[in-house]
Amino acid sequence: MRFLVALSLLFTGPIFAGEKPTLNVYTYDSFSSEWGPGPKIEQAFEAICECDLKFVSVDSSTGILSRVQLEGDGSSADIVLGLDNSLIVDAQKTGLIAPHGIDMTPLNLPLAWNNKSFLPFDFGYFAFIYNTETNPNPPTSFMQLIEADNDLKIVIQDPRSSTPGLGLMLWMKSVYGDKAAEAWKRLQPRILTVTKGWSEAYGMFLEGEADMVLSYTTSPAYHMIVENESKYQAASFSEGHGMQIEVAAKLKNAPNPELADQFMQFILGQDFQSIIPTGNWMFPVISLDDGLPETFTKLMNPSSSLLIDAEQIVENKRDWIDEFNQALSK
Amino acid sequence: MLGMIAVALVGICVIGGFIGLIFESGSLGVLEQLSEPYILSVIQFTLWQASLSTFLSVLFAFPLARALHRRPRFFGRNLLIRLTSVSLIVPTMVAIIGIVGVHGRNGLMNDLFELLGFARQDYLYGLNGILIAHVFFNLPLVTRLFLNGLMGIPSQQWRLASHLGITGFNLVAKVEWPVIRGLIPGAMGIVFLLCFTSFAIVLALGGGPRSTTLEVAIYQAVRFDFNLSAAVSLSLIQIVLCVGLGCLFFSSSGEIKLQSEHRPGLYRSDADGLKGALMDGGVILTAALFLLSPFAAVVLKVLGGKGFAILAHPSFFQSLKTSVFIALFAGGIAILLALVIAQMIATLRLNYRHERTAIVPELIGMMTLIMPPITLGTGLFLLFRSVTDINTMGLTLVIMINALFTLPFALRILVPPVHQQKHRFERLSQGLGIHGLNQWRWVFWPCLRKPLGYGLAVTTTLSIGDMGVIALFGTDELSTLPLLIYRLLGNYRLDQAAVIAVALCLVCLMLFIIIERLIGGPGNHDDAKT
Repeated sequence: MRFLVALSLLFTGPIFAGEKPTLNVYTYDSFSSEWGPGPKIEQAFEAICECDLKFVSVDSSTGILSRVQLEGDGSSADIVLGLDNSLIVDAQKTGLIAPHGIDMTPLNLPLAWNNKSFLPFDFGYFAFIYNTETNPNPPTSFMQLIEADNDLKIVIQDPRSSTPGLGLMLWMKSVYGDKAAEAWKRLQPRILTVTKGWSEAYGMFLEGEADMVLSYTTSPAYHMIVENESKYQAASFSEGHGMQIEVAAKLKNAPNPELADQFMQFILGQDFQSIIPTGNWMFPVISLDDGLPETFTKLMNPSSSLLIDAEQIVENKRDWIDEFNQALSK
Repeated sequence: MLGMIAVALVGICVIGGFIGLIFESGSLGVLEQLSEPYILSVIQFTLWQASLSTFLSVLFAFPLARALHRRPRFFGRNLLIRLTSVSLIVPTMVAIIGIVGVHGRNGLMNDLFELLGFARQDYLYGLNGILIAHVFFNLPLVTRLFLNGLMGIPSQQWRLASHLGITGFNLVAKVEWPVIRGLIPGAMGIVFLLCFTSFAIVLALGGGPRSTTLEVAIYQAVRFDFNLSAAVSLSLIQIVLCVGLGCLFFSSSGEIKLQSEHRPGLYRSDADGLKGALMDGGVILTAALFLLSPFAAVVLKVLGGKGFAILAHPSFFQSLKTSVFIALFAGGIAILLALVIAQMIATLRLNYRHERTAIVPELIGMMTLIMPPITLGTGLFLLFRSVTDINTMGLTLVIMINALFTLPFALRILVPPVHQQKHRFERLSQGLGIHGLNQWRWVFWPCLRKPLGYGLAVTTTLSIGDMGVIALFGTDELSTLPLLIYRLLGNYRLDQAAVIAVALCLVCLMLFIIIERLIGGPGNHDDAKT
């Protein structure tokens, strides 16, 4: 019997660990990992909150949503962090999200944001990354990419399993509208392969398998800052670049509503936002007191940012996926 | 009795979770799904690529097993066999990088073409890539099964064949084929299931949506459409297809062939001669190059990179510790479950002559191979959530899930030798009045320690390489080596991820050798009866 008690203590230990309340933040794996912004954000918030901030990490941003959906009203999550603009309507429909009530005037996004439930915490632009040494003249528009030589190979991600993959599909849609299927068909000979996730595609590109890979305009910043390597750059497309806005939200049944509010407020503060550029390799949503890291100012700046309305995405994404599948299945 | 409890436990976890999912999803629409042309084409492609992959793995495994059997002694033979067993546990992501490093547009093969004056070839992406990867993963497994079969051929048969002057093709047809034929259905069954449910490999090397498996469609239903009902329906289609084909494979494997004790230094008359030696050498060398080159590509990458610093990082030790801990426990549980289930199967077959009924526990044990991980994961999540707090039970759950996932392999390894042991010694030990611990000590252990050692080595290394379905749903600060690899990759650190991948393979290899030696005892281990 004593053994059983000891055993159960072993597995439930953290409950007795302290009187401090625990704030549960559900997020995706690369955000909370040691090499992501998670640990620094945890440290900064715990310094002011008298609480224990705990990240529960799921494999992907859609994974966060399906997890809270499965948990329903009984979820132990206070905050979900890491959904993006393509998911907010689905998330709203679950009825689990509370209004955030945060004053959004500090927001400094390229476009207006007035959603009352989802609070942006970073954003970025999708772009094709290329190697300037092996490919000095990359396409300068989608048009050029589609008409490029068949030898130019790109790796992209599957929109059904990957956020950038979905981002590319929406980006194509906002550039080509009804003619997107046609554009996919013409692009097909240049698509080397379509991977499940971002990591496989980016890895293949770094191995020199493909000339370009779908990623973010901020990817070169990683190589420049961490590896001191400037040969990887983002190709600027004249039609503009698809945008991704990552958001956080408070749950209606958050076990610690006050702490959750405090964290939501913290998201828009300098402490959180200044960790984003070199932590999550995305852009902060407010202007930083110390400005962006210098390298970020050297990044390719899209001529215009393209974002499809969230309602429209939810209504049509199934059809668009079918369109993508059919165009590339020939 | 114990067997019943084990089967019930596994059944509750796997099937219970699935039934929970059916209730959660509300309605089923299997027929609607089957009426969609897209789903039909996906099913067709899934069956096609899985059949081809299975056929090729089995086709190449026979000559390789034969060559290895004819050459029982050459430098590096044991290491080659161990190293290739590691291919089954390599995280998919690493295998992709390795295979691309050899066969890709910028790979070693193309470098070789160029060196020889040929044009660079783009042959990887598409069905080719899928087949190359699937053969890479499964050839070692099938070879090992066949090799063990060949080793079970009594030496009298070889001597007899030699006296009668049976050589060449006739030798294959009369002596080897009858044994191999009995092993083919089981081997094909397990390879087919593994290829049928392949996901990331098929997408990455398949070249686009034209290569989509049912598994991808199920993932899409759960994660993209948030449509549990569609996911459950598609999973049911997958389960029915796999169980149907699985029954076909397993029931046709018929009576398990009784194997004789292997005698080291066995004489094969056809092993002499230059022609045979050259042919075997050629086969073994080709296979070694094919199976080892992707590892070499990753190792080259590591040596050329700057990722070594990660080995000094505290999270490496932490992950290593957690991984080994999880793997040993999960592997141990899997092998214990398999042992009691195998006993139950043998009892059903031998004491009650219930051949058909005996398939049921084996099928239940094999369920985790058939169930789509995302569906199984969702089902288990709902099941465990109703009884415990998922967030604080992370470690325990990972161990349980890994044990369930490696159970099919443990069963494949343990069912035949347990059957054989019972067949041979049950009456005898009853007659001699040997019971309980004594029976274990003097009858079971000597017969079973080799397969138990091999089985535990396999289940342990498999669990160490597994990402764990738990990652799909998240845990608290749990970190394992495969998770570490994915985290590094997700944060651009490809060099460091490659270092961890190589470390993971080395850890697996070491664990494999140590466990097999420790449990299986000293001596030649290739005759672990599988």
